Amino acid sequence: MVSFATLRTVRPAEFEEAADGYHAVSNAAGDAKDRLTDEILARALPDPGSTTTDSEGLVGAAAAAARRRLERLAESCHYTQVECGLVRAALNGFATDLDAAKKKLDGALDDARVAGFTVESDGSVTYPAAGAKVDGDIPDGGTAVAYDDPTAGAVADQAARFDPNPHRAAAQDCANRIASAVKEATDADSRWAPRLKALRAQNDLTVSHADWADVHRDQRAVQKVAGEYLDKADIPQGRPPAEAARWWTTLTREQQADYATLYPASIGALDGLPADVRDEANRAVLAQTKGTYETELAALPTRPGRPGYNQPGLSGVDTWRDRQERDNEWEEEHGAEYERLNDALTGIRAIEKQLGSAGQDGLPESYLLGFSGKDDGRAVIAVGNPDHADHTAVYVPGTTASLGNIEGDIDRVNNLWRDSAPIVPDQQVSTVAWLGYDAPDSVVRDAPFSHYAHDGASAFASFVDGLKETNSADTGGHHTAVAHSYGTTLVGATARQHDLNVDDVILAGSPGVEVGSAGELDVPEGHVWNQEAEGDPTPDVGRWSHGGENWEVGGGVRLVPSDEVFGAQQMTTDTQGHSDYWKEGTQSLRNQSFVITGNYERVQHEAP
Amino acid sequence: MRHRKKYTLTLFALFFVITTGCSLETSGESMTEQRAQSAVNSEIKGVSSGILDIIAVDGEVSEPGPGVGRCEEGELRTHFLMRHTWSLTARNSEVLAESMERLKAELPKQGWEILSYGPNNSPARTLTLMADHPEKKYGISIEYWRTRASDDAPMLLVGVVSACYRVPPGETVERY
Amino acid sequence: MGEAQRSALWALVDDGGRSGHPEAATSLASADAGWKETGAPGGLKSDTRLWSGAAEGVSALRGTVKKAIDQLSDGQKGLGAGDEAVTGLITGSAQVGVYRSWERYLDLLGRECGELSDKLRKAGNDHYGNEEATRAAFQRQLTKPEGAAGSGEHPTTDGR
Repeated sequence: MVSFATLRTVRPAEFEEAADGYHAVSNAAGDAKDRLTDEILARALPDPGSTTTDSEGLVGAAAAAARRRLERLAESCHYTQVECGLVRAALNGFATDLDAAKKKLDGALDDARVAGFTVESDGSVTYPAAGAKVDGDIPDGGTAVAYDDPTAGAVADQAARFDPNPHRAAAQDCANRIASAVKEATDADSRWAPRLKALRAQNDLTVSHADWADVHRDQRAVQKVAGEYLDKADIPQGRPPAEAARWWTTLTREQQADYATLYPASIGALDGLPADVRDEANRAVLAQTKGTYETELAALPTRPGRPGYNQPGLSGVDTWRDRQERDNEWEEEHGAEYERLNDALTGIRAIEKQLGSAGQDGLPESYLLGFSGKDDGRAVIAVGNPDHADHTAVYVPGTTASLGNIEGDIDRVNNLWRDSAPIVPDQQVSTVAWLGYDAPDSVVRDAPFSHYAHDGASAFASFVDGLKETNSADTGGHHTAVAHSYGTTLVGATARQHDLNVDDVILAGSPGVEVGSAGELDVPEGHVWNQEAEGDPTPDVGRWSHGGENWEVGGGVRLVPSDEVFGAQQMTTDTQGHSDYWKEGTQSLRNQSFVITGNYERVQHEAP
Repeated sequence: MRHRKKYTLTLFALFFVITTGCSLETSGESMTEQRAQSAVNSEIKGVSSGILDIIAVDGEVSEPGPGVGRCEEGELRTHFLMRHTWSLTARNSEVLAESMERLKAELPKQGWEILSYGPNNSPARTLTLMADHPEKKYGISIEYWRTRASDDAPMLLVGVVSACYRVPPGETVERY
Repeated sequence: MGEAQRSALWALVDDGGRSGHPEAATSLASADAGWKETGAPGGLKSDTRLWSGAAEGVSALRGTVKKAIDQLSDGQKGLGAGDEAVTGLITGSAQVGVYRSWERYLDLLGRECGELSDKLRKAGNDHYGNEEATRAAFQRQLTKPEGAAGSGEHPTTDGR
C-alpha cells in the first residue's frame, strides 16, 4: 500500500533519472559489444576456421583460448544491453503511471487548499463550520473520510449531500479523489515491482541459452504491464511505410528506444523505419529466439540410440525390434519438433555468422531487417546499409527457401555485393536477401499454388516501399529486384496486385510471372532482364518445362520471360572462350551486377 | 538412398571409363581436389596482384577482397570456390587501353592461356580479355570500360575465379 | 608504377603492416597457413602488435564500463535505502536490489576486462614464453563473481 504521505512527497522524475542511468549502461554495453566483435575480435582474433587470409590475425591454441573469453565477454555485453534496456523501459513506465497518480493527487490537494480545507496526514479532509444557521447554530465542520468499501462510500457521499454545511460535499469529493489517486499509485506500484525484480543482473560471466530465454520472458512480462506508457496498439503495423516513418519521427528519442526494447519484433518488422533501428531490434529478437529454441531443444527427450543388430546376451531382454519401436515412437512424437527447432537454429547460426562478418576481406556491416522463427521462418538480411546506398538489390529466392537454408541466400547476396561494389567505387551498394514470405516447401506439391505468391506480394511491396522511404542517397537511390525461380512469380504478382516500386527487375530461371509482358512489371521499358537458370543445384530444375503454362495471355498463348515476345532483355549465361573456371554462375553474377549498378550497356546479351 | 545412387553412378562411371578409355569427369567427392580455404584466399590475392603488376597504371584500386562462392556441383557445406572482382580507375583512358594490349602480351608468359580478346556481346561491345591458367587453375575476365555510368571515369574491371575445391574432412565451408 | 595504386591490393596480400615487400607477397601467394609459425620475416613483430592492439582495445572497454557504472549511480539520486521513494514504494525498494545487482555485474565485467587486457598485453610481450603456457593463461579464470557460489543464474520472475 502506498501511503498518502508517500505519494505526496515522492518525485516520479527520480525514477526517470534512474532510467537514464540504465539507458547509458545499455548504450555503453552495445558499443562495447560492437567494438569487441567488429574491431578487437575481427582484427586480432578472427574465427578459428576463418579463412579470409592467413596473414591477418593471430592463430593457434592460445589465440583460440583468448578468443573464447572475448566472445563470452561480447555476449555478456549484449545481454547487458538488452536487459538494461528493459530496466529503463520498466522504470519509465512506472514513472509515467506514478506521475499520473500524483497529478490527480495534486489536483485534489490544490482544490482543498483553495477551499480552505485542511488535508490531514491520513488523507482525510477537514472542513470548517459554515452554512445557514440551523436551530440558531452554524452547521459544524468535520472531517470527510474516503472509504474503500463502495457501500460505505456511497453512504458517506449521500450524507455529505444532505449536510447543511455546504463544504461537506466538496470535502468528501476531495477526500475521494485523494484516496483514488493513492489507490492508482498503489496499483502501479504492485504491478511494476515484480517485473522490475525479475530484471536483476545475473552473477556469472556466461550467458546461457536459458538466460536468453529468460530475457525473452522478462520482456514479455514488462510488455504486459507497459500498457498506457507505450501502447503496442500505437505501432502502425501494416500501415504504409511513409506513415510508419512519420510516426517514428513524432516520438521522443526515449520513446523510440523504449518501443524498440519492449516490442522489438514489431519495430524490427516495421517497413519505413531506419535500417539501423530495425537491425538492433531484430538482433534482440534473434538472440531471444535462439535462447528459447535451444532451451526447447534441450528439453526434448534424447532420441533412443539407433537400433543396431542384436547383441549377444541381450536378445532376451531387448530386441532390436523393441529399440526400433521406441525409435519410431520418438520420431512420431518428437521428430517434427526436433526438425523444426534444428532447422531454425541452423538458419539462426548462419545469420549470426553473417552479422559478425563485417570487415572480412572488405565486407561491409550487415543489417538484419527482418527475423521471425514462426512457421518456416522469415529473415531479411542486408549487406551494406540500404538507407545510404546509391544502388540496392533485393534478392528474392524461390522454392524451398526457408530459415534452415538461408546460408545459400546469404551467400548469394555476399557474392552480388562483391561483384557490384567494385564497379562503383565512388558509390555505396547494398544487397538484401529477402526471405519474407512462406516459400513453397515442396517443388512438386506446392509451387503451382499461386496463393503463396499472392500472400507474399503485399509484404514485398511494402518492404520495397520502406527501402525507398528511408533511402537518403544523394543520387536518389536506384533499386533492383533480383528474383530466382519461384521468387520471380512473387515479383510478378507484386507488380500485378500492388506497385512494384523498383527501377529494374532481373528474373532468373522463371517458370512464369503471371503477366504476359515485360511492360506489366511496373518498370520502364528495357528494364526487365531475363536469364535462364544457372547450373546451380536447385531442386526445381525439372519444372521449367511446364512451369510457364500456368498463365494465359490473350488468345490462350502462355508466355514466360524467356520468350522473345515477352519483351525482356535476354541476358546470357554463356561465356566466350569456354573457360574451365569462368562458368555460368560467375557470368550471371556479372551481368546482374551490371544491371544493379546501372551499367546497362555492359550487360552481355544472348546471341540473337 | 542417396548413397546407393552415388554408388551405382560411380560403378557405372568406372565401367564406362574402363570400357571406353575416356576420362569421365565426375563431380563425386573423390574427384574434387581438397584444399584449405585460407590457402586459396592467399593464392587468389596473389593472382590479382600479379595482374595489377602487368597493368602497371596509376590509379585507384577498389577495396573489397575476394569472397567465397558456390560450385556448380557439390554440397554447399563442403565445396567452395573463390572469386575476386576488382576495378582500377584511371585518369585517362589511353593508358588503360594500352594496358589491355600489355596484358594480352604478358599474361601468356606467366602461364595464362588467352581464350578470347575482343569486343563482347554487350551493346557497348566492351573489349574483353578472357584467360585460364591451367596450372594454377584460375579463370580471369578483364574488361576495359572507357566510361562507366556513375561518373564517366575510365576503368578496368577484373574478375578472377578459382577452381572448385573441397574443404578438409570434418570441416565446413566458411562463407563471406 | 605508382605506389599509391599498388598499396590497395598489396594491403590485401600483406597483413596491412609489412607494406609492399614483393618477395613476401609472392611467397605468401603459394605458402601454406603454417608460414606464420616458422618465423617468416616480420611474423613475430606483427603478432606482438596484434596482441597489444587487442590488449589496448579491451583496456579501453574497461574505461567504458567504469563510465557506465558512474552514470548508473548518478541516476540513483533520491532512490537510496532511506529515501521516501524506497521506503514508501515497493517498486522503489525493488529498484535498489536491481541497481545493486547491476553494480555487481558491471564490476564483474570490468574485472574480467582487466584480467583479459593484462593477459593480452603479457602475451604480446612474450611473457608466457610459449604457446601452451599462453593458452593455459587464458584458460585460467581468475575473475570470479562476488557473493555466494551458485548465485550465478539469471533470476526468474516472482509471481509470474
